[in-house]
Amino acid sequence: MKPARLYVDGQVQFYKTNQDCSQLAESMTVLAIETSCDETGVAVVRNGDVLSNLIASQIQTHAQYGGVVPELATREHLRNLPSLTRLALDSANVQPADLGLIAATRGPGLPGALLVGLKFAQGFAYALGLPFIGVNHHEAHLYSAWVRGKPARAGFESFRPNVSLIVSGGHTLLVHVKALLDHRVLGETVDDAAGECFDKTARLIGLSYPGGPQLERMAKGGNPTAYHFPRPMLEDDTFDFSFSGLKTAVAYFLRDHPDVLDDPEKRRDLCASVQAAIVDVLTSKTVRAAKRVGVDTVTISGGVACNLSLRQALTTACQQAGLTLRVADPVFCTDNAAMVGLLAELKAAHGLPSTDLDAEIEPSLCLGD
Amino acid sequence: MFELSARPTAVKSPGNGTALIVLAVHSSTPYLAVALTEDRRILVEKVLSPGRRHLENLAPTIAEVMDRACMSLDCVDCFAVAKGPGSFSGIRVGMAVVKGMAFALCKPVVGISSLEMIAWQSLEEGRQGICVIDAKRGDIYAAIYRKEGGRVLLAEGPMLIPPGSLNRLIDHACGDLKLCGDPIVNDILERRPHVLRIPVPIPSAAACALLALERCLRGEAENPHTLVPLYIRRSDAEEKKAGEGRRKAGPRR
Repeated sequence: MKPARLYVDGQVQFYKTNQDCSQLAESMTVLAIETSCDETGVAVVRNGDVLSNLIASQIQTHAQYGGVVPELATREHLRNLPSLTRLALDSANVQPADLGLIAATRGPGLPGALLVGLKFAQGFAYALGLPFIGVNHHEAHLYSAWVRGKPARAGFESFRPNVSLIVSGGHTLLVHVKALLDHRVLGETVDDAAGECFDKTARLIGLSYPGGPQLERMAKGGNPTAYHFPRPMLEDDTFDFSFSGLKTAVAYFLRDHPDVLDDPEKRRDLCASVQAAIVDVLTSKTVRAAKRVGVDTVTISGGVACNLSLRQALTTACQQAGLTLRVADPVFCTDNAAMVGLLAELKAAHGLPSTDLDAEIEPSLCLGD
Repeated sequence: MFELSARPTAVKSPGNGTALIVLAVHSSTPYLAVALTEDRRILVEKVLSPGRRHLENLAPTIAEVMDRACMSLDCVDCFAVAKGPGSFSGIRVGMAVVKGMAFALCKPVVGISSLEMIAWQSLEEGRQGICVIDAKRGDIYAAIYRKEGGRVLLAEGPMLIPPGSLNRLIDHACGDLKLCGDPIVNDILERRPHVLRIPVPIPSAAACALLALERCLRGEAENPHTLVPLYIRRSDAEEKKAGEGRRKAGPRR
């Protein structure tokens, strides 16, 4: 495919608002960029097929600082993007001239990190005269549980209205997905995200970054009922979450029982008990939400959805409630560009307008926006 | 992070009858400047005053510049960008957009130091000068350049220093040194009134383009994978970790 013409009757075409992408929907190849936090993601998708999905993790860069350093994440993204894009295109066997649409995460996320990915994508789209779609990171997560198989493919033909739990280091959201591209937020965290709670309590327990997965590893073989921690807002009638109190409870517990950290077995019990408290709240509220809105399917995505204990608890709870559970594959749970590309493709196929090429990042973008 | 073979970034060589067209972006200052040159001729230059949305205006400004020159972007032979030092966000926006465009069109890129552009604009043949950019937090970015045979040559730096450290540079220099750059040059080194100051208030993207042209002709163009920003100042987290205090210049990245 030749790049689209830049000039029509002497007018620059690219930044006309609301460019209609629907005519591109058939056989359109999408290049997608995701840089909302500390992982650089580039993917190529076409007609629901994930042709390539690459992630350059920065865990080692940030591990020495005990958490994500936004300035360093931003510098790494800018360094990684061209190389990763080259690898993603090559492994999909696609040339820039074959592309029909460019997509990038517009928010929410770290401002500097978002800016680099968005501007790289906009420059790319402008140069080739291609439409560009800026995507909400959370909205992309709503559909990652529908991506399955090897090679991966979005099975939207089997889509069912569902309640979706997005749970990561930055966010905890319960969303009613009524139909493709039609959703309503049921509840979200009022303070810390679940993953943040995992990370912060792991730090209190003395585990190294990234703390969440370390805590999960330590919890294996531990007794989840050894210590009781509060299940914040569990009995609350809303679908909101709160996890900062749990972190404080762990801090007080360690102040009063410092010996627990010296005993490997008690430490494992502590990790298992903390994990159980978080998993309990997430599981109960998700199942209750599904029953309340009357759907038969639950999906889960986000970094914390990789937690095996959460997966098992949700599987059991959904079975008991007669719900079908779809869990995103681990590679689509964490931040990835394939979900960004698939959502952009879905939007184009539904005839939604493209995003202006001078569009700004939206670090605090909400799912309702 | 990745080992990649460079894509062929052929540049039209001089003398083959085709003029080299360079598009340059300078966004490392509070201004935003875009210029288009054909060989050593400036076709269009547009400078936007500092403003709230000035970084978002980059793509439309590029479009406007191309439009005024009645050219499409695939006419561009080489992309140039101010690689810093300066505003971190500004450097990155310019570089991300330029990398995206150059990658998509398989064209070479050249990153030009913002300090070198100041030298090129303000130094006379055979003279040398200290080029200065306000680094905020009481520091400056500085480098000494010399103009010889029409080229600006880096003699010392670039570095991140408090303005007082310029005294050492001036004392150790052979011959007179001008102080060129950000209007801040009028406010520093008050005890050396005899030092000639040449403020360069508005950045020039045309300087960026013309310097990039020389690099291209010398076969020194890069590709989007190899082009790196010139931050000089490390991130706060790195500074804190290194425990060296923030007045020391960090490694270039």
